[in-house]
Amino acid sequence: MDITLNVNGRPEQFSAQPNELLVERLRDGLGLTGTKVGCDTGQCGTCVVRLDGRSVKSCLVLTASAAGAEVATIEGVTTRGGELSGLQEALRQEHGTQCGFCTPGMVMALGELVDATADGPAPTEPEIREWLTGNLCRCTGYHSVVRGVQRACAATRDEVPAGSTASTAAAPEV
Amino acid sequence: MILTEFDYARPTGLDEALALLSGTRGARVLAGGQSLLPDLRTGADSARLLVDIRRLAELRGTTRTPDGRRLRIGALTTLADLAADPLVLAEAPELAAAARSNGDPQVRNLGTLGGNLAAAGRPTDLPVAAIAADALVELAGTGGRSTLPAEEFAAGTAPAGEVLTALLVPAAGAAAAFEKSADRATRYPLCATAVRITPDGPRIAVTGATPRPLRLRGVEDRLRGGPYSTEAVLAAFRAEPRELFVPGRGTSAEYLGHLAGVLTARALQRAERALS
Ligand SMILES: Cc1cc2nc3c(=O)[nH]c(=O)nc-3n(C[C@H](O)[C@H](O)[C@H](O)COP(=O)(O)OP(=O)(O)OC[C@H]3O[C@@H](n4cnc5c(N)ncnc54)[C@H](O)[C@@H]3O)c2cc1C
Ligand code: FES
Ligand code: FES
Repeated sequence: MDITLNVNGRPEQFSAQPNELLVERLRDGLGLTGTKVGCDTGQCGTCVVRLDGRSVKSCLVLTASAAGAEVATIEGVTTRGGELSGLQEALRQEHGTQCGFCTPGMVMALGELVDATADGPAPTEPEIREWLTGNLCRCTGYHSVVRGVQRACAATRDEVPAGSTASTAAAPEV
Repeated sequence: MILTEFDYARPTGLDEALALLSGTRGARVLAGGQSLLPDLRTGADSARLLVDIRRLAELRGTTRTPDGRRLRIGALTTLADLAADPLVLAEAPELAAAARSNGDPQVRNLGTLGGNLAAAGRPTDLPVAAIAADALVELAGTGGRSTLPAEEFAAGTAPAGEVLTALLVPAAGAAAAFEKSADRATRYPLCATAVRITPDGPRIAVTGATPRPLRLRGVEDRLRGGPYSTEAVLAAFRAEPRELFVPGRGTSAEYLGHLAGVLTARALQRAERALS
């Protein structure tokens, strides 16, 4: 099947089998290996990307049914100069990443939460934890990830992050 | 990687979709894919042709029926949209809560109302909410449209070659609730229950503890007129025949039957509070 897909703002054209999963196209076809495969059955969240703005598990999407959509992967989050996004920087400052295997999926999933709440109050801690249900992390224990999200949300609102354990004297870098 | 091969079609109209489904052996509806794709991946399910219905505009949107007494919710409504829809939250809160309890945000972003109602194999959350609400499932086939009470739809397998187009849900206001005890790893219900308090008494549906989503008329009769105290609800459950409850997920039938009673008591008490 001939398929056109927009990936990180770039049109991509290729031919794919009907049973190809989006994560296979991204990693093997387009070389975007920032998106990881953990379980391949929808449980771990390492493969999360944004599809037309919504976070989805790319191991549970057929490439064919994504045709015509806008796909955003972790490669598109970091700026060209290699600068981290506000969320990534906040996660770094709060030690929200250790081995890093879950991190691309976390950033893509949490990106939707941060964007969806941008115009209102920052998400509460229970909301952040609920939002993380789909992302498994073997290393951090999640607390530092939650603080990272709080820091990122506070930074865009000019506030001191709730529950931060990192130096609160320094203004969060964005 | 999905190892089995199948064809794929993405029709733009319902008639085209129905023709594909009736014209191909082993043709299956693909909606959000959050059940079907992992099942194809593990080999738990198979298909010759996937008919992707996500372009069918007539399966989207939530409206009030002209008489104002029901909501018509399109089958392609995602679980995320269902959980946040103000109309559903106001008139069918048990359905919104069931959708909200589902899996995780990514599954809710793609999983659909129709897919959750039609998915077979494991207990899912929405059928109990639809049954307690006394909702009607609207189906389309090559022979035309039909409706089926949600209870009957849950009792059989989804009719082959038909497409679930919408759910018609009586508007109830606040007097309804959903409760669930989730499997820790997957969030699938170990046991889920939905209740609606009506002038004729409570309507109660349970899944997970029973072989399929069931309305518990015996429990309803025993609880008619109240009170919905935990003791009264547990006693009403204990009076059910033992074989109604089945073991599952490493737990006994006795445990699940008790859990169903506890969750139903919580749901009834919450619905009653919302009423007053
Ligand atoms: C990690 C994970 C966690 C999950 N947790 C839960 C949970 O907690 N609770 C729960 O209830 N579910 C859970 N699910 C299942 C998920 O919610 C359902 O798979 C989803 O709602 C089904 O909708 P879908 O649109 O993805 O259906 P699909 O996967 O596309 O289809 C499912 C089945 O329904 C049929 N079908 C779909 N739409 C129609 C239609 N309109 N007409 C006729 N047939 C149709 C398909 O042919 C297929 O047989 C989970 C899934 C995953 C991957
Ligand atoms: S690889 Fe997709 S959820 Fe685990
Ligand atoms: S940092 Fe190692 S899995 Fe999350």
